Order: sequence, then structure tokens, then C-alpha cells
Amino acid sequence: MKWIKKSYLIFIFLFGIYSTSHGQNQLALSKADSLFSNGDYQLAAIEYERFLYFSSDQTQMLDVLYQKAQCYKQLSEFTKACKTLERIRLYNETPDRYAQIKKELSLCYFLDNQIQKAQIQISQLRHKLKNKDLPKETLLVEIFILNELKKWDMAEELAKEYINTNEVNNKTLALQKIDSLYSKKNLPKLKSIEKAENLSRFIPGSGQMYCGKVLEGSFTFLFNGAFLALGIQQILTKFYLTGYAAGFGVLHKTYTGNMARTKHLAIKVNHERHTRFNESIINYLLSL
Amino acid sequence: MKKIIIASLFCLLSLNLLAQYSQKQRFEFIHHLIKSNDFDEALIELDYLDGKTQSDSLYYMKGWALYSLKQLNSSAESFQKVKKESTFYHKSQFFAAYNYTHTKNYKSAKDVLKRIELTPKLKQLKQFEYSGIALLERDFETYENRRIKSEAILPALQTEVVNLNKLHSTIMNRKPKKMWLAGLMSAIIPGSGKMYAGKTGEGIASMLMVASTGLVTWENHRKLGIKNFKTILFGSIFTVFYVGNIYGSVFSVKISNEEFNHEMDQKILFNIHIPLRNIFN
Repeated sequence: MKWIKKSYLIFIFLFGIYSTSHGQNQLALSKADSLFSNGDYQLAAIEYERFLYFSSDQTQMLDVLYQKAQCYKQLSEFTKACKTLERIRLYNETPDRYAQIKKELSLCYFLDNQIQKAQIQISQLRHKLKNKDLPKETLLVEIFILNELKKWDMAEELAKEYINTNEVNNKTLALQKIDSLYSKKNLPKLKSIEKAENLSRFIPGSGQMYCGKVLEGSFTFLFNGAFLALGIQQILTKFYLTGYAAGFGVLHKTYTGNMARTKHLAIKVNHERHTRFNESIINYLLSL
Repeated sequence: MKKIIIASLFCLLSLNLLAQYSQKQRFEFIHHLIKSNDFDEALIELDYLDGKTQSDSLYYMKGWALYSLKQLNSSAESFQKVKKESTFYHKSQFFAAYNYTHTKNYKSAKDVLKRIELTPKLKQLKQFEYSGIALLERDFETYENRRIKSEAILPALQTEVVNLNKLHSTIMNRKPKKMWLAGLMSAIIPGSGKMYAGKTGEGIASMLMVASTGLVTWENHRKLGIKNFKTILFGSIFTVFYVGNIYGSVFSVKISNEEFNHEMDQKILFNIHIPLRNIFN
């Protein structure tokens, strides 16, 4: 009888120790969830990490890491969100869970401007899902990535696939809209940097005009022309030093400056047009 | 016996309900956050503990997190609170002194070093840090007195002691450039003041600019006379370039001196930092 009582007490205390530590971790998790619901994402991330540090319960790891990544996503700290999601081991996960994590990873990489990594995640997901469709959100991310990479044809194809495979009001209208958005007329007309530079090399200011800055181009043309004329006029009137220094000397400076400006302008215009086009596609697809 | 079992169960359940992490566990967790480079999160946790405990670990970890976030003044303040009984005492004090040194608060840095209670092994490190501060202050006499001269230098200090001596020689051998001399040189030969300041390219460009405007003015003056509009225009441009070049030369010397001092300071700071990382990490 004495041994039985002793065994009871040992069991109770061992269970007590286990349940106290288990209780602590569960409390941290509940607190984290509650902080997350209240929008206190920074503190929630800490509590999730506390759970991950102290708990040995592997079954909850994926969910907790996923939730922690959500906190960083809400805080727009995408690098940290990616780092958290990368900690998830996906070897033994079910296809659904795998898809859930890869979906989130591709989105976070895209938002963190790591386009190539986002693309790799989507390729891995496609490989895993084999013949199944990609999740709706991942398909969207892939369209955005292809737009960023200027692969308009593939992006259009996927945009149509997105409309056809998802519940969209008035599919015909949506497909027509996609056709018009990706029509040759609507695609961003990107300027050739080399062409802009060459134009400005032969006719100063024409590179700026080619980039759409007519006023700036005209001014540059007149400015360079004026110094060229001054140089020639001074030399013709036998003011050789004045012609060389005040005319051609200044012309050399404005001419080289004009070339550099043209290159910068072409890059800027291309970036603006590309961004505007991508934003119009993103806004439309998200509104569906 | 039944009563005892019921009472024990009740107590344990109550304990479970009130389950809270102990301070030791919290410190373990903060240490984990710091190791994972999550310094902002570590600081939030440390702030939570700040009112609840006066532990040395708290001040050390806070100092380290702030140091990693480059908040050096706050870091130094936190490091200084670590008591001498702590295992982190020496590391904290030396890093506090370094943080003050980095923020050019040399007086506080020296005060911290002065107060450190040392083991014989660390005496040389203290002497080395003192010599580094003296060199930063350009107090060459103190540097000469403080610098490590003995043959038996700690292995972690050997390279840095040599480097500091080299930096000392470089500073001593450089004659500070004179602003008035640069101005005078540029007044006589435009651009030469900038070359004297060590900016040869800028000097040649200025020389060509002033010379070309000068020649244009001379040509117009010779052919059209002094009262002609073109002579006055080019003459005015020449004057602006000529005076501007003198002014620029004076400032080039100032900038050149500042650049040299900044470069030397960065190298000294680097050399007094490395042994701290080697010895304490």
C-alpha cells in the first residue's frame, strides 16, 4: 500500500511538472493569438517565437511559424517573413500544407522584391502539384512576376487561365478586358536606351524628344546649337581663343552632359511606363 | 492520504493555471533572440524585464542588443550598469568604453576604463585602449607614455599594436596643410593650391578653366579694347573663376585635412575594436 501511495505521488508530481511546462507554452500560444487578433503583431511575433523556443511539440511548429510569418507580413517586414517561412521543414507535409507554405513564400518573396526566389517557389509548387491547378493567389503572384519580367504573352495566358479557373463575374467581359490590357496598343512602349543615346550623339536633344520630353529636347538642341554657332562665328572673325574656349569648350561640356542625361531619362521613362502598366494589371486582377 | 492527493492535485492545477515563464527562461529566450539577430524583439523583451529585475544579464544583453543596432550611447549606459561580480563585467565595461570612444566621448571612455577592476591579463588591453584614445585625441605625449612597449604582448593584441604604431607614425609624419598657403599658391598659379591640398585632378581642371577664360579675356581686350562688352563679359567670368578658385583652394586644404583625420580615426577605431571582439567573443 505504501508503494502504491508513493507511485501515485511521483506520478502526480511528474505530471504536474509536464503540465506546468505544457501550460506555459499553451499560454504563450493563446497570448500570441490574442495579440495577433488585436493587431499587436510585433508582440505576437515574440510570443510565437517564445512558443517555438520552449515547446518540443513538433506538430504545431508549422502553424506557429506560419502565424509568425503572418505577423511580419502585416508589419510589412517581408524579409523577416521570408526568413520565418524558410524555417518550415516541408519534407513530410501533405500537399495541401506544402501548397499553403509555398503560396505564402512566393508572395512574401515577391513583396520583398526577390523575384527570382518567388519564381523558384512557384516552380517547386507546380512540380509538386503536377496536374492540379495552382492556388488562386499563387497564380496571381505568377502573373505579377511575369509582368515584372516583361513576359507579356505568358502573363496574358495565365491571366486568362486565372479568369477561367476561378469564380469571376461576367467572364466574357473580364477576358475582353485582359485582351485589351495586353493588346499591342496598351503594352508599355519602352524606349531603347541605345537608340536614345545614339540620337543625342548626332543631334543633341533628339534623344530627349524620343523619350517624350519635347520641351527639354528643344532647349538642349538650342543650347548646344548656340555654343556651336558662337564657336564658329568667333573663329570666322579671327577670335580663335574665344571660339575655342567659350564656344567649343562649353559645347563639349553641354554635349557630354546631354548624352548622360538622355540615358538617365530613357531608363526613368521605361521604369515609369512599366510600373504604370503593371499597376493597371494588378489593380484589375485584384478587383475581380 | 486521499486528502493529500486531492490537495496536491489542486495545487498543481492552480500552478498550471498561473503558468508563467521564470526569469531564467526569459533570459534564455532573449539570448536566443540576440543570437538570431532579432535585436528589436530582444529589446522589447528586455524592456519588459527592466522594472522587474536588476540582473546583470539584463543590462549586458540590453547593451549588446543596442550595440548591435548601433545605438552606441544607450548601449554604453546599459553596459556600465553591469556589476563587477558578473561574468560579463569586463566585456561590458570594455565595450562601454569603446562605444563612448566611437561617439567621440573620449572623457567618458577614459572614465570607464579608469574604473574597470582588472585581472592581470586584461591590463595590457586597458593600456592598449588608452593608447588608442590618446591617438584619437592626437595627444602624442600620452600615446607615447601609454603605448605597449614590452616584448610580451598578448597574442590578441600583437597585430593591432603594430598597426597603431604605424598609424601614429603616419600622423606624426604628415605636415598639416596650411589654408593661407593654398590660397596664395592659387593666387599666383591658379589650381596649384588644390594640387598642394592633394587634389591634383581638380587643380589641373581649375588651372585649365582659369587659363582659358583668361586667354579669352586677353584676346578680346587686345582686339576690342577694355570698354568693349565682350571684354567686360569674359573679364567678369575670368574674375569669378579666378577668385572662386582661390576660395576653393582654401577649402580644399580644410577638406583634405578633415579627410585625412577621418581616415586615421576610422583606422584607429577599427584597430582598438578588433582585440575586444577577439578576446571577449
